[in-house]
Amino acid sequence: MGLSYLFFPGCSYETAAGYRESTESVCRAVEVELNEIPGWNCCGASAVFSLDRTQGAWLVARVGALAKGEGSLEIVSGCNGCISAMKKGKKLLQKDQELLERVNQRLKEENLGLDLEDLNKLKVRHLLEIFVQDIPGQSWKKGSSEKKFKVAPYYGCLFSRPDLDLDDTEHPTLLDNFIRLLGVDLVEHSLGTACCGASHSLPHKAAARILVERIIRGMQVKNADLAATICPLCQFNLDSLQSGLDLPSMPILYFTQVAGLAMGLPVSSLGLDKLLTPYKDK
Amino acid sequence: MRVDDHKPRVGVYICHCGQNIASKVDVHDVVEFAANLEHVELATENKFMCSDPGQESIQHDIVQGKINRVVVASCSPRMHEQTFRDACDKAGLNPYFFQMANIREGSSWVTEDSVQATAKARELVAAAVARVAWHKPLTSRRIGVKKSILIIGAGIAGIQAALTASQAGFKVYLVEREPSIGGHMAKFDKTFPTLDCAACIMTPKMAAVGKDAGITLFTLSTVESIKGFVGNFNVRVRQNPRYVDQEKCTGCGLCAQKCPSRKIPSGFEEGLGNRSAIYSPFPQAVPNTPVIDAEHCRYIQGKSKVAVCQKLCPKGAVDFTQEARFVDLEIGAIVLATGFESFDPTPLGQYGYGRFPEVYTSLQFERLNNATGPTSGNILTRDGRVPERVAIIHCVGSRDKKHKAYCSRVCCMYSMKFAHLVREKTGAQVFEYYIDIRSPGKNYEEFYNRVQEEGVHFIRGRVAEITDIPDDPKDQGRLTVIAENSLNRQVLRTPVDMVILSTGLIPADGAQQLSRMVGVSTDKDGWFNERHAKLAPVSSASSGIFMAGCCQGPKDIPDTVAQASAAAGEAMALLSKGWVSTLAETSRVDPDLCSGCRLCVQVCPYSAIEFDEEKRVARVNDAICQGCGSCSAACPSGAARVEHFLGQQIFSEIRALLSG
Repeated sequence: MGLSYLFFPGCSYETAAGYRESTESVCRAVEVELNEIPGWNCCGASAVFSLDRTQGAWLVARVGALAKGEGSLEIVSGCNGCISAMKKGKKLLQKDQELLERVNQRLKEENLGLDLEDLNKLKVRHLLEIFVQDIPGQSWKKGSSEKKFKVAPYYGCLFSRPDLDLDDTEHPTLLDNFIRLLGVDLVEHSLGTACCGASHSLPHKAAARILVERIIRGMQVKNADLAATICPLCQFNLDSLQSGLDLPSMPILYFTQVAGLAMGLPVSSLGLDKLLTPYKDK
Repeated sequence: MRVDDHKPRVGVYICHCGQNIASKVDVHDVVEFAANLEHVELATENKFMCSDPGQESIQHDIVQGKINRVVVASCSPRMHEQTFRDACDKAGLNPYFFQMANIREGSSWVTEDSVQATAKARELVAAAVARVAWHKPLTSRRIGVKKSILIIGAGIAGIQAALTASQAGFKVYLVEREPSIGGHMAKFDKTFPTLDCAACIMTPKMAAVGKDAGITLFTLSTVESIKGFVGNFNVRVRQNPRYVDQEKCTGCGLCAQKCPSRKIPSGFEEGLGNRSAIYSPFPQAVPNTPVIDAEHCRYIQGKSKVAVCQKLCPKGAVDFTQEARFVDLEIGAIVLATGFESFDPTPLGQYGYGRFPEVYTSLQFERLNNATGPTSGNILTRDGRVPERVAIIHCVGSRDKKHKAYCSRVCCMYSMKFAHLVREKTGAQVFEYYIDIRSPGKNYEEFYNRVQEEGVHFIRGRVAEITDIPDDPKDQGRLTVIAENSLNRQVLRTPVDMVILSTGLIPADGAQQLSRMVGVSTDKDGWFNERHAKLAPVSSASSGIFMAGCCQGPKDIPDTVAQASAAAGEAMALLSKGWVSTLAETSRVDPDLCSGCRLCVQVCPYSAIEFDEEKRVARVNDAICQGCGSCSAACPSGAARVEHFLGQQIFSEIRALLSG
């Protein structure tokens, strides 16, 4: 019997370059069931919290309340931004009784509710955590492929920060461990948590491109063939801002796509054709 | 002449303490108040009760037979309780017929309002009077002492204490867990601020320890157990086998040259060099007898049928039959000198220690710079290049609330020593990243000035990150140090060839265990607590146990040596007169009430309570008991009671306080 989780897709999951396709393929292969939370809403991202605390907290509380209605307070997501926003909202609500009451008044309009006890139990986990911590290691060895490639892990800034509860803040290792589990070559490098430019990639493309160049160059110096990412914004920035750099191109995959390739799943099921910097079988 | 002490007649003496008390407390009012309390025979005041005239006034009233109980209302008992007890004793009154009321720290210094301060002083005096009425005469006994001193740890602190005590004619037992004495100082090449050679000043002392007939040295040894009490400790030392006979070995070194098991990272070289399984940690080791590391010896591990060293040794000194042995010692006083170890910078992931080969700890750099070290004192990168740019990062692990909040005191100075040595030996550019420069020692600030004049770059800022990703591709292979210069608010990204982390000091591994064994408390960071920060800096709260050097807190070599001499001096002062008096305020277990549950035996932090198997009751050894009261609090049947803290005494005191 496989494992089953409540899933929070977030705004980018559907449109990101093959994230949904590869997640579905890999989850099927390792017998993990992801059940989308019905009626989910935006996590608030970074924008809402900086404009309106109550609104941000409400968005998070609503997702929590919906999850509670589905019978679990453990939520899985594949986006660093969503996870960070939800952890932030949870913390705000835990510390502020009055805010929690206000948010609950609004939730009541939809016959929803989330009390402090629920909040304390609310747990938001990255899909990567599920893969490494919950799924037996041998599941990843199933249909191992002949493909040889060297993968540089890339965590982005929000995976291990600002919350210090998950992994080493400066040098997280969970994705490194996952790549090792997959049996492909791991490229150790120092840029796993370096800034990808985040939302500056649209209004300040030139500034973001400097950061992306640093990351790509650093991975290439260590002879990486491709990068594995765990966050849609990171993936988009590293992928899209490569054009115009004076560097060899570097495919930026989702960790789920890397897993699919390593496990020998049909390439067509991994959404690799959606990448801007194309991945080609060697 | 003893006065009749059946009916309490209390003399109350209120002290002005100059203006310390009198400026807040209305002393006349308190005197009048006290005079009307039950049991009080007379009440008076004095500008300084602790002065000779003050003490004499008490003694006069005792000798005249006016009073048989004394209350002095003045400062903290930690300050002058002993003074007034002695005064009573000299006048023929049992010193325990005295009680102190602390109206300075307890009232005048901490109360803004004069009326309230006076009211509180009255209550404190009333409580002391009510208590002293129930006091009992107590006496202490004299016990002979052993004139021998155990010193645990043979770094520079232990060595200095051992030589001092031995010179004065005391028998010294020096216990060191490593194969050689010398500690951390033996790893250094130069010492600040004079830059004299550590070996030159250290090895004569080490050799002197080896030759001194008054010092019995136990290397590869640990203290297994300590029993007994001040002046009469029974200590068991475990000596691990060296597998080389010290009497036969000439220290020729042939065994280490021929040992087939060679590539073992050397602890003495901080992992920068290798050693063989039979080895002498460094050329000047004392004793200069090699030791066999059983874990890596191919013969002991059964991987080889022949022991090459044994076969080749011209003196037949290699002896695999040696086993751990235990030695029992009778000891008068103990000096703890267990030193420190270096903070492991691995948790500071942003500095890349362990990931980047060119990031070194300060102790590694000491070896890199040492003439007997892995590079013969040439400062080289791991691939053998002379560095052109070197960064030194201060306060790694220290002054950092995420790790150790305290300042490790020595890092600024040794960092500047490193800077000087790098400049002198390589001409490299040196960048010192500091928070504040702390150079409060004789000629230390001058050294700071000198290093600045030598062209070292001082950057005031905590380093955010060290990365192997260069900003400029031509710096590929170098490390980039990223920090904000907080003096000009500029972010600096400095490419360098080598980084030295000035790691802080933490207590030596095992210090916590030892602290429990000897009954010495530690602070929140694990350093041994001295009895008084200012007035008893080398004593512990356990009598007969002293401390020296870094086990009490980070300090440099001059301070360590001064403290070691002081600790030896205190130990000798204790033992010189040949006897110690026992504490009078000790615990007693009433055998008629004791149920034999042994809770008290478990909670006693001094191991002062034994269980009498025959009578099935607990019994307190009053020579060891420190009167802490743990047993009394734990005893379910009220059998364990601490003299001078009896129920009637305490409850009378509380009742008087509350009725004020």
